[in-house]
Formats: sequence, C-alpha cells, structure tokens
Amino acid sequence: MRSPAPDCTTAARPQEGAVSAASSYHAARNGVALFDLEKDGRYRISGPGHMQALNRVVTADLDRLSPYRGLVALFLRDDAELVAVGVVFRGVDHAMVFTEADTADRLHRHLTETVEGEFVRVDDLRRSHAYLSLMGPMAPEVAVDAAGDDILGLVYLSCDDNVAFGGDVFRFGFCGEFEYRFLLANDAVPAARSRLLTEASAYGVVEADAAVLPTMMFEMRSIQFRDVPEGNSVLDAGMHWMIDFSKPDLPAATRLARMKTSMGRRGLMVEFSHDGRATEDSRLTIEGEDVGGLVRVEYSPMRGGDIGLAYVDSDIALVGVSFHVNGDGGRITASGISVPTVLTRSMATIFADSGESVS
Amino acid sequence: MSGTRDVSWNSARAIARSRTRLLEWLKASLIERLSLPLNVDEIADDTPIFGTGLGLDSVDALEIALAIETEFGVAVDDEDIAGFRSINLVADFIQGRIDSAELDGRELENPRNAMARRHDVA
Repeated sequence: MRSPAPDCTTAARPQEGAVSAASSYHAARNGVALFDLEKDGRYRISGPGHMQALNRVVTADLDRLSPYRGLVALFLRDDAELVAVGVVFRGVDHAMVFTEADTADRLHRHLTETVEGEFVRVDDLRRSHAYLSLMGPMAPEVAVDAAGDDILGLVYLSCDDNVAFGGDVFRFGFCGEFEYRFLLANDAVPAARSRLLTEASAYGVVEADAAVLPTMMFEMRSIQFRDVPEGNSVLDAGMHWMIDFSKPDLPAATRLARMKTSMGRRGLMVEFSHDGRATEDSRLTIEGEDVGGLVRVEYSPMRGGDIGLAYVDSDIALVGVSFHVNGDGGRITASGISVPTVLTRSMATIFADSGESVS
Repeated sequence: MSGTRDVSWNSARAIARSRTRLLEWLKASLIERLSLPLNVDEIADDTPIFGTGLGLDSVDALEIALAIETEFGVAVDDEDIAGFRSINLVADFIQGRIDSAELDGRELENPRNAMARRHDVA
C-alpha cells in the first residue's frame, strides 16, 4: 500500500531544521534541498558481457549509450507487463541501474532472474551505499562549491566519479529542477553530508522530506510505476519515448507493435474546476456516458490547485477536452492539459543560458 | 481552471478532431525536418522534446520554430521556444496564436512536400 501524498498545501518558507512537506517542496522549487533517497533501487551490473546481458532486457538500445551517459528505459516481461522504469548509466567496466522505491525489490528480482549469470554480477547497493539528491535552482552553485568545477560539465543524464566526494555523481532532473545525485559508500556519507550542508548553508538548504518527490515528478508527468494501472499498457501511459522500436531483439516487440495500433484508454493529465475536489477512482463522463477514470489526484503547490491523471477513451484523450467527474461536493469538470504542468525556475534558467534541458 | 468548460459530445469530438489533426502534422513535421527515425504512432503527445524524449537541442528547436513560422505565418521568439517542452505544449502555442476556425479550415501542408520545396529552393 502506498503512503498518502504529503500535504504541500502551504508553500511556506523553510524554517531552520524543518523537514515538513511544504518546506521541502519550497526549498526544492526555489532554493536547494537535500534528499536522502535511501529506499530507491540502485544496482551495479558488472562482469564480462554485462552490457549485452542488460541490453537484452531493456527497451532502449544500450549500444547507443556512450560511457558516462545514461538513459531512461523500461524493464518489461515477455507479455509487455511493466516491471520497472529504470535509468541505466554506462560506466567503463560496469553499469548502474536506478529505479524508484516502489519498484526497487521487483527490479532487483527481475535483474537477478534475467541478467545475473555465470559471468555477470548484479550487486544490490541499497545496504552498502547511500544515495543523496541535491535538488533545486541553486543546486549547481552548491554542487560546484562542494564538489568542484568539474561538476558543471555534467549534462543531463551523465555521470562521473567525483574525487572530492569519494563517490559517483549523477545528473538527474525528473522533477524539473537541477539535480545531482551522489552514490556514496556508507562510510563516506558523514563527511559528504557535512560538506554539502556547509556549502549549501548560504542558500538556506533544507534536509528535505523525500515524500514530496512523487508530487514534484507528477507535476512534470515524469511517469512512475503507479501511473500505469493494471490493465493499461506502457503505450496507454505514453511511455513511447522510453522504447526504441527499431532496436533488434526489443523485449516484447510483437506485443508492443500490436499495442501501437490498438490502444485502449490513454493517460491524460487533467485540471479541475474550482468548485470541488475530485478523488482517485472517480469516473469521467460525457453526457452521462462513462469514458474513463481518474487514477491519481495530487495538489500542485505551484499551480495552486489539484491535477490528476486519468485514463480516457483514446479518441478523446486530448488536451482541451472536458469531462464531468464526481467531486466531494458534487459534479465538477476536468479538462485535459499539457505537460509539464509547470515551468520551474531551473527550466527557465537553463534554457536561457545554454539551450540545454534540465530534463 | 478558469472559465466555464463545455462538457458535451459535440464539443469533445470537435476539440479532439482539431487537436489530433494538429498533433499529427506537428509530429510528421518533426520527423521530416529532423530526420527522426520514428513513425508518427511512436511519438506520444506528452513526449518531452528536449533532453530525454526526442532528445532535441536548441538548434533543433529552431527547426520547429521555422516549421511553425512557415506553415502558420506566426513569429516564434526565443522565449516561445523555451516553452516548447513537449509536443502538446507546441500544439498549445499554435492554437493560442491561430483562431480555431481558421486553423480547422486551413489545409496543412504535407511536411514532406514542404521539405522538398525547401531543398529545391536551396
């Protein structure tokens, strides 16, 4: 059972030492926040043939991945059922695979069943290595102060081993903010954490509550496992870009090809009229006819209102189309919207400076 | 959400028809102009344009701007391009600049023909 979404309704300025959801959200969106991603999956794949073994079970083509670069890929079963959304980074002699907390155990099982073998090792680093995220529009300044100028050379989804930290640093951005993740052996954590907090103190860093991250990712429509309900496919969820359809030996290729032309209900982000609050599992209707249902509703502090994810009949699952849905005070309106649903400070900054993307 | 939204089948189908037509043109244009190794049905409407997703950069973004300016006669500046975060957001930009009746009545040029003309001129 998943935890209820944290209450980010008051975007209060962070108080010293505070770790409330609201403070965490505010810091990550306006300054800098330090998150402990202790529950996220993190696996090192190594040994002769490890990249080939991994490439056989992901939907992206790892042959196109340069050393020190990463990409988002799906791990699928033979029937195209989603095991996990993963991020794969290519090292010199190993690969790193990361996934969200909700899929950490199932991806580990999947990797040991499908990738691990006589020569290929799958090492689960959750117990041995901490995983910290420095996030926010001020994160680059802090990262440079803490880890040196080299870190500025890290583009989105790239990595490097960082001598200053004694660990590896990865550039992410699924929440729409600058983000540097540090993978550190446990004994290196106290010194690294102290260094980050010291360098970040001038920016009002908050040791933040990781429970806000799903909300922040939802605002970006960075798809999480829970966003693909049972009975819906990864293509219904709009995960096409994580799949290289031209890849030789694409997992579940035949099923995916069929899915392209016979989609069921499609995922659509929606906003709501202000005369009530919708709940998850509510049905969407047009003139009394059922056309879909809500699978997720979250409050967006940046938007100042709820946003939702619905699965709707594919021919009308489009931005601008409106539906009726039952709210807590009666019938309200939901309308399709584009994503990302917010333009963050980080996104505005990076494009202005370099044309590169945060995510 | 501001304003009263019409919830009816007439409205839903009209909006869906118009949006689908625009999205298909947009995806086909991107594929053609940027030589993307994709089919239209392999690009979801919420696909990110920069970084992940289509993996385009700021130079590619200029091609998107050119396609819009050429097809619709709408000026696209740097700030507009910064907002082109997904296929859907590009479609929002176009629909925000062109009257819906005019857009629905316009014959959208096949992107292949547009590129062929461009090469002929060059």
